Amino acid sequence: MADLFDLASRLTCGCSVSGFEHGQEEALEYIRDKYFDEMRREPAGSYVFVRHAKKPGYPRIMFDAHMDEVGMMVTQILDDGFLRITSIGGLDTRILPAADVTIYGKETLYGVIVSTPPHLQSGDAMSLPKVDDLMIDTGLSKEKAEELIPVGTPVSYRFKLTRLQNNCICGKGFDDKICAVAGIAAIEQLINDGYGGELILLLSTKEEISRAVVAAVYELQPDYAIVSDVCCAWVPECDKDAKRKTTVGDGPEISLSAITDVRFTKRFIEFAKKNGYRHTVCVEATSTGTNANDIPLVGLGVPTLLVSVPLKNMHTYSEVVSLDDVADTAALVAGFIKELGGEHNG
Amino acid sequence: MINDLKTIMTTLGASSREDAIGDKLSEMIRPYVDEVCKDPLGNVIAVKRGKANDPQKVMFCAHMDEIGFVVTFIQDDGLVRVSSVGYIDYIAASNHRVRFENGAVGVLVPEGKTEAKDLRQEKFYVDLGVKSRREAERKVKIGETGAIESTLVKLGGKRYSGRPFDDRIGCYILVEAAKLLKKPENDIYFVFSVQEEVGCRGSRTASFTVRPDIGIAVDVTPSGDVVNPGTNLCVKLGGGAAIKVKDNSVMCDQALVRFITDLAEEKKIAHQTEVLTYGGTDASSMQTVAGGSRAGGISIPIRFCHSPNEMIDMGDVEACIKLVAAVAEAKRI
Repeated sequence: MADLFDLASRLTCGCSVSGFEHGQEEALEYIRDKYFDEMRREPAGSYVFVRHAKKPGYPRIMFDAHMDEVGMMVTQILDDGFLRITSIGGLDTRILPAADVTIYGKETLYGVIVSTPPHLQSGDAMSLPKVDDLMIDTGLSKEKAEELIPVGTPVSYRFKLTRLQNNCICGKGFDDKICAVAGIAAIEQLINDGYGGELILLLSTKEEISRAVVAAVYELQPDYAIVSDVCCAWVPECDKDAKRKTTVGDGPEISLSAITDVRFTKRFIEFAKKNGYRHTVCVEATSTGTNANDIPLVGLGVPTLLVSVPLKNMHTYSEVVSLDDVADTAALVAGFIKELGGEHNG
Repeated sequence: MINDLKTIMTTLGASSREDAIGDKLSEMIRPYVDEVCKDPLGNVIAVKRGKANDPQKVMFCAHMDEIGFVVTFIQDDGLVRVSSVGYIDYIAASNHRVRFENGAVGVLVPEGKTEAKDLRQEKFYVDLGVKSRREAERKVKIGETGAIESTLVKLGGKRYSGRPFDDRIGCYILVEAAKLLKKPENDIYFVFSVQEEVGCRGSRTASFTVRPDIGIAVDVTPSGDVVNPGTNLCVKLGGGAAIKVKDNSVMCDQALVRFITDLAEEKKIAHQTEVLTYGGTDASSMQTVAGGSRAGGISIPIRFCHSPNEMIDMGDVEACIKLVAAVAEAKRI
């Protein structure tokens, strides 16, 4: 089995704010060299990894996980050197004040989002901050900040990756790079088992803010797409919402939706049941909120299913997932790909 | 030059009714390019062929539609109800003249005693100055479109007030840039797109036809130097061509942003960085249609966008013309 913690660390340590996923090149080359024959960057920014077919007669299967994450961008440098920001993707402003951030300017710099202490707050200051009102403190003067941090510089949560208990890990950017980890682990397993078909890994760009994935899929036109993204796991606050039942540790969640391919998804669920893979099923009637909304309609159409890794604290610097869920997702996907390729005998 | 701009500004063309403005822009650009055609949606696609053996396809796109209204209902008393085409700020549009496709003019007014906070589409009607439905029907028909009357007025310095600068000023820039082209290396496509204001629809089919390697939207961007812009906007009127990093529809290709910025530095063209926290442009469709392209934007700073009195600075427009031409003449992007 691939070292999931190591892969998660390699993929989440660099800059990968939507549209600025350039901080991952080292990790991408590592993945290419270890598992694939070829890697290319599509014009819109997605990365395609291909392992060529070793034998004829297999369907072309694509695994998609998006490689971008939510973040911020500098819009203005104030007279005292503080930075004004805007959000890229959906940020929860409640968790931003006092957050550690990394600023990818001409140099990589550390900063902290300003938090007004209670002593200095008055009246309605306790209300939810707007991202337009937040500032980053770098300790730099205006002149130095202007020199090192041009307007338009991306900013992300500071990289941190820790092990919690019970094989859970905590960090930033698991949405959606933990699913990329699952996909790579699945592919490693397929390689080890001598799978002969073509394998395509799409690490797609800008999922948090656009439909850029469609451009990459247009050229690939795979026979099947397996999309993997994170889903919000149950937390005690969810008790009121009976719809949300999957818990971290329950294994992958399979989406049943009118958007994705019903026959393909049912086959996946049947396969999981028959072979005893842990999983849950979630109903997302008309929208999955993921790339699985767009991929089915590209070109002549692509049968698509969505399998999700349960995650807590989405879009924060302390996202939590279970590596057991990641491993189970990988095993399920690998097993199913073998079945699609006609190799499964179990 | 100003006469050309006036022609481009005063030709009515709400989204989906771009035939007349498309014809005028075709004629204006034809002498400076190799081919001009119209696609089924009405996009005007002009191309100047490059001399390189292996040319890149560079597509500049400015939308030629404008925001406006469509007639939904004609009352017995001859008053006309309309619905928005694109985003209309009704506080700004209130009490302005509307001109329809066949030339009829009326005044867009709110029902009496409507409080400012309630100024929305349903409260408005157009008074054509007629007395009955029959009379009104001779002037406008249900389904016909119109827009706030076009104006173009010179203010102090190089600044102009009027409408619709969004995005006829972009169309003007493409025509003027085409005039500057000598023998480009790459295939340069100038596209005047339709239906941008209702969701960047025209640029989708145009991008599919062109399949550009590089896609650059030439559109307006709100400037932050107004009293209380409401959000952090770094662009300033008169600050030069604005090179787009993002808006709400697109994260631009980083290498392209750097390339355009370096080119502006090298050619000493006034420029600034644009980070727009809302809004969208044709760059989004160029980036993601078919196999996708490396996309970006060269934007014209504008104040009071989508109002009857938008404001621009001709210094910025001149910078944009030079920058578009410089990118079009570049060897390899």
